[in-house]
Amino acid sequence: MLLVDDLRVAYGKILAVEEVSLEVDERELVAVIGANGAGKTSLLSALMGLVEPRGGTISFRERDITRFPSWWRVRLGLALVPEGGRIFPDLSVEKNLLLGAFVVRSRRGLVENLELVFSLFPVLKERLNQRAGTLSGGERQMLAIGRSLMASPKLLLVDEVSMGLMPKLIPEILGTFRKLRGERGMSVLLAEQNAREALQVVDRGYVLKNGRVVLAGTAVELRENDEVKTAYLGL
Amino acid sequence: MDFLQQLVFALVLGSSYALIAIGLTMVYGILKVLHVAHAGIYTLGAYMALLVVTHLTRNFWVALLLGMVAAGLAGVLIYRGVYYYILRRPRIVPLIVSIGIFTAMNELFRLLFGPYQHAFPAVLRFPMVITPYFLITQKQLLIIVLTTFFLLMLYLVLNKTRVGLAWQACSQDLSMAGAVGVPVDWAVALNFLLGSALAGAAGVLMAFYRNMVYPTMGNVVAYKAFVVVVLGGFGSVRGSVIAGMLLALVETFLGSLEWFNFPRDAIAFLLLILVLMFRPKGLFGRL
Repeated sequence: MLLVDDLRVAYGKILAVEEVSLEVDERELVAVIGANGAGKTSLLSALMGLVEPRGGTISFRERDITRFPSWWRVRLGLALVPEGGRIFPDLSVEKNLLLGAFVVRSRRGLVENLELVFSLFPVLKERLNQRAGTLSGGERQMLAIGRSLMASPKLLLVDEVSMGLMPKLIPEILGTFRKLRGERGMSVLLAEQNAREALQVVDRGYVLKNGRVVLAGTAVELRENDEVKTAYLGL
Repeated sequence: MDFLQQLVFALVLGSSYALIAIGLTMVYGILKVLHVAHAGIYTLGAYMALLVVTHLTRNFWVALLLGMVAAGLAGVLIYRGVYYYILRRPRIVPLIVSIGIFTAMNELFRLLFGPYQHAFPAVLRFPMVITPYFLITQKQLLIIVLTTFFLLMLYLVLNKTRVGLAWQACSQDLSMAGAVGVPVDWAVALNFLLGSALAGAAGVLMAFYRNMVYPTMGNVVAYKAFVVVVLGGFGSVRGSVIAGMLLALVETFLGSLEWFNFPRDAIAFLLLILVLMFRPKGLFGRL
């Protein structure tokens, strides 16, 4: 479904992503784990079209989208939950959700997606008319995820969703992605610093270090890997 | 009564300030560019309308419509032809380019139409209001009614349509707006179209009201519109409308006092300095 080949991203002369190749299949949960500054956010930004890659190709559902503007990628079925949520703080929760559904043209699709979001995060329903900037950290993340789901995505890109969350909320939020795969047949690419929690929910993973993929395998393989254990799981 | 008569003058002046400042505010809100050339668009609207009344028809409505269309398209052209390519540069770059475009437009008007003032002989059937207390000429009434109409329309577009929602998102986080599926280039182009058409309308209305069109008619307007945008709290449409009206009220009433012997146009800039010193976020903050 998503095929990334030899992707490179640079800011000026500083390389953030180097020769990264990876893939995500239909109904697959994949993690990209790595420390702060490993290039996870740059990778996801390039996939979403927020930065222009220096080289390589991105293809999504058999289409080369490397040079597509981000709004076009949303129409093809990509959606992003960015680092820190990046909700629209001065707009109401409702408007944030409506903006998420900007590419959804049918009334029915809109209502269905709203119901899905409210079933996952009932608290958003109570906060509909509240300014999004007044939400708590956890609620903002929920809104960011909810907003991305409003577009009926086929592949969800999730950047560092566990950051800033209360520890007990993390498995719950990550668990929703498994639920989404089950109910909606969605695929998810999860960029996570929190390898321990991420490797509990995904099928496969890539380890990113200094912008390069240094290791890839199934979640079980990665959990058992000695290098991963010492560097990312703190065992 | 003199007070009511002055109020009429202030409303007319405030209408022109508001119409121009709206476009500037919208552009600043989304692109964070100080769009100086916006005042050139105002003049362009007036000249387009002048061409219509001198060559095509004396009908005011046709002149207004074509003036707005020309202004709107010119605004889009400035965005797609120039700003689009320099948006990621440091902010000083688009600012200087914008000043350059404004100067070039002024010179172009001077070359094409000559450095003198043209009369604006449009004809309009519109009522006049005469009461024992004040008089509203047909031109004044036209400006007040049309501005009210435009502001209402703008309110509806901003708050009740998809485009308005897209603009709200763009002004908060342009790249995130794209990432939720808003066709950002289209949204910004439409924003220029509407803001510039309103500036064009202001140009036509002022040309009609003062019965003159000349190349530098946008100069004082350019500076004043900036004052209005700053007073209104950068990027807030509602703030700009209120600030435009307030500025016109202050100018009109101070200017009508017998002991007030200063140039009226200086008031705006004194206000600007005071606001920047004591309330740099504008009079009302972000509305």
